[in-house]
Amino acid sequence: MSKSCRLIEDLLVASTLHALEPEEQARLNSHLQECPDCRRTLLALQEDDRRLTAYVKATDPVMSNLEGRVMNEFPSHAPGSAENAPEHSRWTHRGWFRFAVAAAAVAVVAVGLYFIGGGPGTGIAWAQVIERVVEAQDYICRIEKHASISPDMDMVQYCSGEYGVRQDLYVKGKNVTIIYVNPRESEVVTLIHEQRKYAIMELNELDKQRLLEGSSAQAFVEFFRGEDYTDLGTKTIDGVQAVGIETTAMEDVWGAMFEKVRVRLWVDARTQWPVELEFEGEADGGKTWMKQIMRDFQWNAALSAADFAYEIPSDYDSVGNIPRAEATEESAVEGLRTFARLIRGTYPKKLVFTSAVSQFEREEPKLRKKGLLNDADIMDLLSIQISCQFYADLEQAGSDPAYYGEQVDPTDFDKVLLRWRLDDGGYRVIYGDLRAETVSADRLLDLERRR
Amino acid sequence: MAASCDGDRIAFGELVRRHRKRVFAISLALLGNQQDAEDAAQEVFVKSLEQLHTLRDQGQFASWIAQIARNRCRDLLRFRARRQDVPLTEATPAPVVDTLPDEDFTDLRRAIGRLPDNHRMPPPLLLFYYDGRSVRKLAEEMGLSEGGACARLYRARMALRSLLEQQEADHV
Repeated sequence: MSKSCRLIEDLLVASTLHALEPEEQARLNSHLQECPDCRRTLLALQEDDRRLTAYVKATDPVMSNLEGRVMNEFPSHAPGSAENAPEHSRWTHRGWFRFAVAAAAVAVVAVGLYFIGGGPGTGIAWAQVIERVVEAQDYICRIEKHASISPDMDMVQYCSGEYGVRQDLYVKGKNVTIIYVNPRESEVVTLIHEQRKYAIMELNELDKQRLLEGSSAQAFVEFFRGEDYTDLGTKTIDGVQAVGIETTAMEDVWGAMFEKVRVRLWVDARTQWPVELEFEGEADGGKTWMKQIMRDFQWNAALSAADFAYEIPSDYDSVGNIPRAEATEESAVEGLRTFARLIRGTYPKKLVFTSAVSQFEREEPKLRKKGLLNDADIMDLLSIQISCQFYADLEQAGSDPAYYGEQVDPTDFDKVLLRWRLDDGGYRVIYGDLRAETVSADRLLDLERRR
Repeated sequence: MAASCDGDRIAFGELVRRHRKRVFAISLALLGNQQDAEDAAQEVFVKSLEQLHTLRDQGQFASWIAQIARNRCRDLLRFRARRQDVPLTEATPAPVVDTLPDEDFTDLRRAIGRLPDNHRMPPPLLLFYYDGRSVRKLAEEMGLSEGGACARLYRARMALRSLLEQQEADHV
């Protein structure tokens, strides 16, 4: 290398980092025109730069894995953590199913932040709260979850407007599962560390919208803009004076999952940032229920792609494809057929997912004991979620749906199991044997008298 | 940090998230092997949690954990050298198992493992790329002026180029 080349060396490196002033770039260009060695060096440095960038990017999943591995070693001492909760007796052998349910139902597991208008007397400018939350692209929060159909869990949720949602689930202080909702790849990936298994659920556009709406505080704020709410007054949360509101007007979002919901939002009276969110949902007249409390929000957390990168370890087994389909008549019927097959001749009493799962849970021990059920069968159960979604869609569309799963079973070939109104005023009917027919309103009246 | 000491998972998780790139970059630079670096970084964070109560100046956490990482990696290198019965300096370029898809980074990793600047703390080259190619952040991490950080970076880049050329020549 000549003396003039050595003088230009730093500029070569700097140019690959786009860190040159215009006059320096001009000097370098002038040298390059005369020096083939430096031109070759520059090309090599540019290639090094590209490869270093690619190399670091390729280790993004390592960063994410690293955090999971470290947190697995973290002893849970936090009061109220799941460490002291009673262990769920059937947790171990069916944990993967529960998390598959959790993945399918992440819309509910996740969030619910909403409301609006500007009620007198709260002292909170709710419209401004909404705007701030909408503008907060990313956040992290802790979620404490209790439910009748799954063990108590602690979760940490990472939510990014750009990268999707990641939810780390802890049972007794151990990171047992991570769920990634990846909007770019249109999939939900569930890594069940405890059992070294994974599940991938592909999402269609509607699923994706629902999951992200269900998982994103921002989307909920937008969605519920203008809904009615009730003032809850004030309470102190971790030394913070908070003002709360409550709504139950969430049926259209949660209809496929619960019959009733209640959401309470508590906002720091001084900063006007949300500090706690409580969600309660119930079905079966309260027999099936879920409650979750989201707190410790870190609004505008600096999340990066590395926080949402995942890598399925080579020694993890797939639990099979989680059934997903458009919520159509055909897929809804298939879900009902599958449920009846698994439960040996009974339909869900209600087309509400949590209720159906709860009903299944009650039957499951007997079926297993008789050898009539295995883990692969259980995965098929998730198809009933499509049936529930189909029914919720009909309700939302005002199509006058009715479902008679409590009275009708697969042998009732002439009784109406499910029906809804069509655009032309006629009715579509699914009979107990899952035959389908379009009938007039008068004919439907006759059919429904047979129940 | 106090919350982490008290067993607050989310607080400790935030510490891990904030410093994992630094710890991983140091481990990768010194050990030259992704799997070893990941294992070492995990051990470093677990150790940091165990000893967090001993850290008096919380503002020094970054340099404190970097020191733990450096010490741990040197222990591993010593162990590796003893096991292979070779001098420490020769044990540094670690055996490489490439597990990344699409592109083979074997030669790059080997060269990174041989960079003399890796034994400074923190190693500038990987930190720069892990920090989104920001000279300002690199300068903050290294406790240098931007000019000083640039100088380190340039030296590391040229040294890397030289090592890659040397490796190519050896293959030919």
